[in-house]
Amino acid sequence: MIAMEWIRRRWAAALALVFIVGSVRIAFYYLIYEPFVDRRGSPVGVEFEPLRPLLVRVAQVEYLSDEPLDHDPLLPRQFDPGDMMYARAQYALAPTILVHSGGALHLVLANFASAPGLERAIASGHYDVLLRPAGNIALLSRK
Amino acid sequence: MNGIVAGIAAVTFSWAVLRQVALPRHLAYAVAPLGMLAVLSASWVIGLFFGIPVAGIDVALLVAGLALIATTPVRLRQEFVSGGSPLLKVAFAVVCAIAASALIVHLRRFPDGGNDAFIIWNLRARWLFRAGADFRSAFSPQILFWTHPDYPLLLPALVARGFGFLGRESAAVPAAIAFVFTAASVGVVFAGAPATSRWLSGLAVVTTPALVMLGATEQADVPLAAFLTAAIAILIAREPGDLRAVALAGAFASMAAWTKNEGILHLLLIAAAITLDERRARAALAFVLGALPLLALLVFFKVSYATPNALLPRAFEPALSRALSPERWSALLPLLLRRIVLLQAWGLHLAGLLVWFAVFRRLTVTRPHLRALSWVPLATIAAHFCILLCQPHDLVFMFKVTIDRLLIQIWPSILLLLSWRVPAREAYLVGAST
Repeated sequence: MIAMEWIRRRWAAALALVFIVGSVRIAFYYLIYEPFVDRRGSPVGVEFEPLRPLLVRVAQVEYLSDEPLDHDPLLPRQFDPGDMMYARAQYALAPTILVHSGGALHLVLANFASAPGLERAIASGHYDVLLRPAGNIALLSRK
Repeated sequence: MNGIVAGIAAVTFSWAVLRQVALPRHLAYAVAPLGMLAVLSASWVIGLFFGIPVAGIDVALLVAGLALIATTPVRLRQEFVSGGSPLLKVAFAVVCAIAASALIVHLRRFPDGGNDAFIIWNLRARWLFRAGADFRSAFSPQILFWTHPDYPLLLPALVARGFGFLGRESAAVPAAIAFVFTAASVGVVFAGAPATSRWLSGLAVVTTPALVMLGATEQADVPLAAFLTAAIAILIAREPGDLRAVALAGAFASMAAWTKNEGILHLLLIAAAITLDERRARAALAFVLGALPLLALLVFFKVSYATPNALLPRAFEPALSRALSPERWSALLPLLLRRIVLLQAWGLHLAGLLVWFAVFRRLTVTRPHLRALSWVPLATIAAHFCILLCQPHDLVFMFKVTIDRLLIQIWPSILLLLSWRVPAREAYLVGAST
């Protein structure tokens, strides 16, 4: 009750406190903390850009990864790393659809968490490598 | 050249419609950019869906706007009173500069926006721009459902149209749009508030960390908030019995619905509030008529192109048991309490709102024409919490990823509605009620 009475009498000071805390938070985080502590974000999906010229007019490619995806909207989301890897690739390569489930397609986008995983997929002998812009990323064609 | 014509057409048409309504002129100025952006987006989508040259639509809008301006009187009211002390004005200018700097710095550092921005909105914009006539693939069910191909298109279409004006993709387009919508959210609250609390209301919204956070990460919730606040501001400022204002509010509410699915809920709640406040069918009809063009576009999109929402048909079958689950309630309440004092997202703003409810609410009253409307934010929160409790995913995860966005959608409207409450001792002058 005492606090309430204090606030009622000094509402202007209380309001000023709210505004100052908000402003200081905004200024500190975006103008001080983030520029000096956090590194600059790189464009999303830039690692897939070399593949774009090869996918012009390609409507769909198969999506292959060692990270599972959340396929079912009714199940709890549990594969965030895989979902984010897919999202970055899809963002870069739109409007080519990255088909993540269903039948096998001739062209395959391999997007692995690490290069050894992709090496194993290539070593399986099922694919030819068309372009490999990064150790963990490649455009493959199914043999 | 096309961009210039499109811009002139959108401005002309939006202004031609706005000047038909007996609103304060400064409020019309504040909401006009929102109307213009919605027109730019919708005309492009209509051209895309129906194969009509967009330039033709722009010319038609320009002609219609000029004809309206030439043949109808201006009904806007000139009543801007600055009010406020010099200290408040200086403080407002300073915090606006801080917020604008924060937005620009973050947008430059993260040019593709936050996760939802590139997973949903900018992805769709890029897709529509790149695919051209083959745009249907943007809504394919073969895309991972977390990219939400069923979401409305106001924002992606606006970004895609910006790309079209430039002739290439540029991260500056969604960034500029995010900046404009964030600024508009502040501007509409500032312009919509009464002269006595205009600067305080502006300060309250622009110092909200969550607004800058979600604006800087290019979330669609900020445009939705801006459209929703515009609709509320128009309803607050309407003259008694002015059905044109109600129709205009319907148009802005439909822009919110054409921005995000949650906008449909906001639109329905505002429609219900209008019906209760006006107590006549003509007002509800005017609201629906105002909303009709964009709602028709939304329905056409949902029926013709959008992937059926994967969650809706099956998700709510065992909803009641989830909603009544003590475990879910016991998980939700502590999360909610913690969010109120989470300085990173909300500073002291939510705590301040609760204090206001505890200390000051009973000292103030609502104006008579806003009785039901003033309950819309609370009804929205209740509806969102019902959805949170009923949905099948992990409650804690869903709460954490949705709550700030859901709250920011209604936050400017809450501040605007609060600004129009009057001291109880003056209530008899305006016929107000608690």
